[in-house]
This record gives sequence, structure tokens and C-alpha cells, in this order.
Amino acid sequence: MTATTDATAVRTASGAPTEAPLEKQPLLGKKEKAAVLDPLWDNNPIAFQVLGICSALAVTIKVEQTLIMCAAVIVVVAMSNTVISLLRNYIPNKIRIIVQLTVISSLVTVVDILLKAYAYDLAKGISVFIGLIVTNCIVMGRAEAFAMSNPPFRSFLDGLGNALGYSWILLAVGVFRELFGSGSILNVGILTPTAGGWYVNNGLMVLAPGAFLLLGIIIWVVRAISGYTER
Amino acid sequence: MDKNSNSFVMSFAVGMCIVLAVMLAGTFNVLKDRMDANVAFDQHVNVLIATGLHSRAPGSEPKTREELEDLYASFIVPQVLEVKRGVATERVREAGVEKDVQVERVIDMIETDYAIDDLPNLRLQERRKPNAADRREFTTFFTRFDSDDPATRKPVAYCIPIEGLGLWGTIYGYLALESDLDHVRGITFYKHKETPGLGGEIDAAWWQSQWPQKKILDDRGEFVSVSVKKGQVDPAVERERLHMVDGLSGATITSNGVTRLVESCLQDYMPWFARLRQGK
Repeated sequence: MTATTDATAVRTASGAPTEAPLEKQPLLGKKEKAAVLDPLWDNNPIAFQVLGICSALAVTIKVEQTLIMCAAVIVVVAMSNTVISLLRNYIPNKIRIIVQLTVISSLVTVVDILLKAYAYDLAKGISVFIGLIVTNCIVMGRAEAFAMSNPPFRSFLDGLGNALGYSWILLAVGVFRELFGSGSILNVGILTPTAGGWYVNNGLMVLAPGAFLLLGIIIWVVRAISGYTER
Repeated sequence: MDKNSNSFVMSFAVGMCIVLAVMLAGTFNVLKDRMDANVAFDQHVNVLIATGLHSRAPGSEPKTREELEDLYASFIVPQVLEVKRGVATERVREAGVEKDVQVERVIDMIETDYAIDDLPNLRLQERRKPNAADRREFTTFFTRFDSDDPATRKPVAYCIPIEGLGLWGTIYGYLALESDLDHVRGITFYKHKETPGLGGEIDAAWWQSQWPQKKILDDRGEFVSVSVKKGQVDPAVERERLHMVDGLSGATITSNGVTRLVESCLQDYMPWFARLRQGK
């Protein structure tokens, strides 16, 4: 069962989400574990839902950038899910999307400011993509589909799981792109580029179409292993 | 309370905006000094790299932030110059015929007493002047000395800020010249939006290492600048060996942009270089 249908199942006839009494639940119950683990493989936001691939193309040229992007997305999705979940009983239905977007964009701005203040060198190359996390479908998707109808801790875990599921795919793409596009991993030279070396950098890998091809291959591999087919 | 009543929706929206605005403004203000310090430090480091006091090339020794700030404070003297624009006569050759044309350009640069930290406020103040003709223009200039003793030291290099359009946006950097104001000492870029792996290679140490010892003047002392060739420099051709560097494959627009920005920024500083030469 996917996290999305799970979330709707909790809703009662009146539309208000119900919560089981807290004292009866262990910290990490079945639903909590599913919230983290489901999106890693069974319901991966990129491989199965094909969400958030715009940034998978943009920031995966170098592994270093990819790591920063992943960290930023993890913080933003986990925090936005938590905040939206805390506010879920008060957010008026008419303006819920705008409220979600406002929360998400504020968090993204805070992350951008923090990066500029504490990791300036890294933030320099990636600042423009951090801003684009606002438009990442995963963030709003999780807020709308999960956080609006689940308690804060479970929403936090769901955000964490989805962001991690997104991160590992991004990292896989990033490793291949940096290795074949720039001949290095984390800026450490592995394949010696020409001018003394033997490896000619593959220009396709540093451009968006290279990422598209790689992403397609990764999604194919993941789906072939888990036997998933689109209905 | 009715969650869908207009008054609740309105007050929720307003309350939300106020809370988030306060949070954002707070974070920004608390960290503003830190961010400004990072930007300033990054520029200091780039001046050090251009003038040969520091290197990011693989294998070079890493330095701490304190060491770098210390180097900058000891050996680099920044200056604020006032830029005067005007019309100059230039002799050009067109279809084999030499003729004079009027070009608008920087005709003089004058030393000022402003500190480099005053520059942002100074520029803001000028921009606010209602009459465009009254606005003054300022730029920076860095001198690298051979020791930290103000009494006896001599300049060994000069560094100018360079900026201009690349493919995706403006490229910012520094270009340093030897004390003869002819040979290049080094070049760095600290902010650009070029494609990583293609135009972004302007950041690569191997590419920047071609610049030192290129000449910006020809043998008659005329300004020719240093350009980025499309393809590889042919060492047999003197003009290419002295005044050109290898282009970046797959990054023609970035390469041409660098050629243009280096030429136009150096051209702007020519009046100031003339003053420096006379001062010797």
C-alpha cells in the first residue's frame, strides 16, 4: 500500500484526520517505518512517480553540488511536512496550496541564507538551484498528499524518506555524470583527462540530455528489478 | 470557528505572512554580516590568486582563512579610483584606409581617498543623484607589494577587477599584471553562470595557467590585449604565442566573452596605467 492511499484511509467521514491515542503507539510503528522506507524503493518519487526530475537534470553535473542539493532538499521536505502537518487542522481549505507554497518558499530561502553564511564556496555554484527547490514537485506533493492528513512526526518521517529516495537517485546520476563528463568524483581526478592523459571527457554528460539518458536508464533498471509497470 | 469563513481565511493569510516575514527578515539580519564577510573574503582570496600569492591548483598547499586574510592585509593595498568617461579620437584601419573615429570610453582615472569599504555606499549615493550628468563612477584597483614594510616596499603586481557577459550571465573576476604593466601575472573568476564542464572550465587551474606571461602590449607599445583563440595556440606564430590562449572546446561564446571582457576592462584602465608609468 502506498503512502498516498494510506493517508486518505486515515480520513474519517467528516474529512477531519483522526489520530490514534499517542500512548498506545511506539515511537517507530509500522506506519512510521513505512513512511521512511516506502519512498526509498517501492514508491520512489523519481523512479516511480517521476516527480522532481527537473532538478535531477540541473544539479547533477558534479557530485559535490549534488550532495549540497540533496541536503537542502532533505531539510526542506522534512521541515515543510512537519510545519504543514502542525498547521493542518487550521489551514483553510480554500487557500491551502498557497499556504503550503508560502511555508515551502520561506524554508527554501532560509536554507539559501544559511548556505551563504556557513558554506559560501559551495553555495556560490548552486544558489540558483536552491531557489528552484520551491518548484520541486516532491515538496508540494508530499505536503498536499501526506502532511495535510497525518500527524507531525509521521509527516516528518515521510518527508525524510521521500527526500532520501530522491537523493540516492540524484547521487547515482551525479556520480556517473561527473565520472564520465569531467573524469573525476568529488573533484578528485580518476580518469585523467587529455592534455597528458588518455580520457576524453564526454561533453554529452555535462549537458542536460546526458542526465536525461542516465535518468532513463536508472528508472528502467529500478523498475525492471521491482517488476513495476505503468497501468 | 468556521474554518472556511472569509474572515478566518483572511486573518489566517495575514497572520501567516507576518510570522513568515518576521522569521525571514530575522534570519537574514542575524546572518547578514556573516554573508557580507564571506563575499568580501572570497574577493580577497581571488585577488591573492590573481597576484600569485595563493593557488587553488591541485597539489598546492591549503591555507587557513586567517593565513589568507593575513596575506591580504600585509601585501595587498586596495584603492578606489574615480572613472572619467569622455570622447577620444582613435585611429583605425578600415579597408586599408587609416582614419580617425570618435569613440566614447574611459579617458582618465583619478586617485581618491575613499576606502574600499565605502564603495557600496558611495555607489548607492551616486545612483540616487537625480541628474545623471552629475553621477560619478568608481572602480577598484589593487597593488601587490613585495614586503609588508610600507617604507621600503616596491609594487610587484597590479590587479584590476574584470567583468563582462559570458553565455548565461555576467562573468566576474580579477586580472593581475606584472609591475611592467605589460605581462599578465594571473587571472581568476569568482562569479559566473557558465555551463559546468564546458564554459565553467574558465575556473580550471589548467586553463588559467596559460595566462601568465602573455603580453597585453605589442612591440610598439600599443594595446592589443590577450584573446582566447578558437582552437589551440600555434607556438610558431608570434602573435598567437604572445597574445593568445587556447580556447575551450564546446564553449565558444564563453571564450569570446572572456576575450571581450578582458579587452574592454584593460582598455578602461589604460589611462591609469599611463599615470602609473609616468609616476615611476
